[in-house]
Order: sequence, then C-alpha cells, then structure tokens
Amino acid sequence: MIPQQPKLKTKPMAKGLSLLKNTFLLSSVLTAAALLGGCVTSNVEQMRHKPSAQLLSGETVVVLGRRQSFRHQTEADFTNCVYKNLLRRQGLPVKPEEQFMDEMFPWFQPRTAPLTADALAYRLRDPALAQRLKEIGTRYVIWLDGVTTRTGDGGSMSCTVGPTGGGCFGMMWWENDAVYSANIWDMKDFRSLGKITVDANGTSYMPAVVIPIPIIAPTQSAACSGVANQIEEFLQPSLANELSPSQRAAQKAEGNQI
Amino acid sequence: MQKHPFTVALNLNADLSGYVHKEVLQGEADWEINFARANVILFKQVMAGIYQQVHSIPSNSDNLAGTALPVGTKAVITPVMEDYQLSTPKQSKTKYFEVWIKYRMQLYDTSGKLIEDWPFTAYGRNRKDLLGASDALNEATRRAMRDAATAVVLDFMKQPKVNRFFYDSTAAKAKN
Repeated sequence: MIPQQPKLKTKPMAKGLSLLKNTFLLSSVLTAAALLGGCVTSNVEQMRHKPSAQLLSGETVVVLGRRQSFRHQTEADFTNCVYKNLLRRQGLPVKPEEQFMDEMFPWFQPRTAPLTADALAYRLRDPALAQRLKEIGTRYVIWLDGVTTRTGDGGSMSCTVGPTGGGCFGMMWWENDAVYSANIWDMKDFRSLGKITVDANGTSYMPAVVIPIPIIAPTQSAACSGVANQIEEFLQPSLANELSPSQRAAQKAEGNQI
Repeated sequence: MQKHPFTVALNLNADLSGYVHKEVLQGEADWEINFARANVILFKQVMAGIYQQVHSIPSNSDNLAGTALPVGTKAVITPVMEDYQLSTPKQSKTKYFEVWIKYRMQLYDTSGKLIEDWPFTAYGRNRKDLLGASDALNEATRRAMRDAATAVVLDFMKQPKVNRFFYDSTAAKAKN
C-alpha cells in the first residue's frame, strides 16, 4: 500500500522548488552575462626610440598619470590598473604613484605636474629634480595620458514595481572609447625609450526582460592590459632585480585584488 | 629644495586652528568639516621646509604689537584660512567631490607692519565611488591642503614684495 502524501506538505515544497528554479535561472543569466561581456576592439601601437632596457638591482619604475586641476586628468583607476599589471603580471619593481609624489614633493603634485610629454621632458632636465630622482632610485618614469569617454548611448528601459513583484523591460546601450598613450622615460639620460598608444572601443548593452542583464564591454581594462603588455617589451626585470620586502608585500596584497 | 637662511615666527591663530565649515545643501546631506589641528600641522611642516628656523608664537589675534618674538626673528608669517567651498557629485554631475580652499599668507616685519598679504586658492578632488561620501570629501580636502602646501613652498618666496623684504634688506644690512 502506497501512503498518500499529505497535501499541505507539497505546497511549500513546490514553492521551494520554484524559488530554487528562479535562483538557478537568475544565476545562470548573470553568469551568462558575465561570460558574454561586450566586445572591445583594441588597437595598440608602439614607437621605439631605444632598444629594450633591463632594470638593474635597486632601480625602480613609477607610473604617473596626467594630473591637471579641474577636468582633464587620466583616471586614477587606469593608472592604478597599469601599476598593478606591471607589478603582478610583469613582476617589475614598480613604485606606487603616491609614494613617488611624497618623495618628490613639491614636484609632480597636480599644481606642478607637467601637462604634456614635452613639458615632462623639460621638467626632468632640472638638476635638482634629477638629483632627487637619483636619490630615490627611480630609473624609469612611465607617463600616462588619456581618458575614457562615452561616445554614444541610446535605447530605453522602464521598470515597474507592484505588490506582486516588479520587473524591467527595454534595451539600453552605450559606447565607450578609451584612448591612452604611455611615454617611457629613462631618467639616466632623460630620453624617451618609446611611446605606446592604445585606442580601445566597445559597446555595452543592457537588455531587460524582467531582469536587466548588463553586458559590459571592458574598454578601459582592455586599454590597460594593452599598455601594460607593451611596457613589458620595453622594460624587463633583471634576474638579480628582486623586489624589496615592501614591494613584495604590496604585490601580494594587490595580487589578491585583481 | 634649499631652505632660505632666515628665522621666522609663525603666528597660528585660533581662527586657523579651529576652522569649522558648515554646508547646508538642498536635497542632500548637510556637511560639517572640522579642520581641528590639520592647518596647524600643515603650516608648521611647510614653513619648516622653507626657512632655516621657525618659531611658533602664541597668539589669539591678528594684532602682533607687544608680542615677544624670539631673538633673530626676521618676520612674522600669519596664514589665514579665508574660505572653504565644496562641490558634490550631484551638484557638478560628475563622479567627483571637489574642494576649494582660499588662504592668505600675511607677512609682517618685526614691528607689526604688514609687508604682503598674498591670497591663493588650493584645489582638491576625489572620486566618490571608490570610498564613501564622507571619506571621499575628506580625501578631496586633504588633497586641497596638499595643493596649498605646494603653492606656499613654490610661490610664496617668489612674491615680489616677499622676496624684496627678505633679500633686499639682508643685502642692505650686509653692505652697511
């Protein structure tokens, strides 16, 4: 004899299953969105003035973003992304920008930072500045200039919330253009090793059928990887050039965040 | 940078050390920015980097007459914080908190005569989405103060009246 299932017990079970199904559906959609991502077209160019350089023991590199009061500044997160890439993936002895600014005060503050690569080259010819750079052991300065801008957007989306639930319907898109350049300067002779330019363009979408699904095109991070990979071709860590304990600790801490 | 070979007295009055700015914004949170001793620390550090010797003098007013100055003091410098302005991301429709601080650097000779009253504005900004609003504004203010330090270090001694006061009178003394 088959015992009859009490009816009351089936309802929460069914509800539980439906919740499980919804959660599964939601996580599948989000995972698919994360996996899909938006497409990015990236164009990287390199101009070389000198052959690749090998860092010697004790020499460090610093990544500086263009700083100018008010609107035009290279985003701190882009500068930070290049810094982390060089430190973690390329294993270069990179000094944090903030530390470099403290060591070089009052130079390289937003008020005094050069606005163009030529101005930087001119500034680096100041003997007092050159002496200070020598003291702090910074051999290469990577000067980043550029910005990510939204070049277009469109679409529409409407969302409603009611007592039984809510949802969105529609489609939105936006296009970002990340244009950056990196000049690599050798502080020993104040000459440029070369210049890297990157132009990454991508369109992000957000379709919504009940749930909005962002499909993001990582334009800025594509530009960051492009620049960092090219810098690796200019600067190579020496085998004897081990990171200092503080740099190793920074590398370990930041490696976990990437 | 090389220090200028002078002894100066730094007059950090109560207005500077206890500066509090209150901002009431429509449709946004109200802000209270209390500088506490931040300005005192800033100017003590900056002046120590510019001049050979710096003495802080106790003063609670702008009137320096009768204030006993340490021996060898060439001038008295009084930093004044005149104004503080902030802009929130909502106001500027950007991702940034922005801060402007207007300072004046007043230079007096030892008899209390005003030689120069140099105004300058410092600027700082910080992105909102990396930190909470309070921390972001705090950081923007810190950057503005850092900008003020840069301005004083690089430009104060280049002001014609300031430069003339320190160097012409020293040259005249040496001639005599």
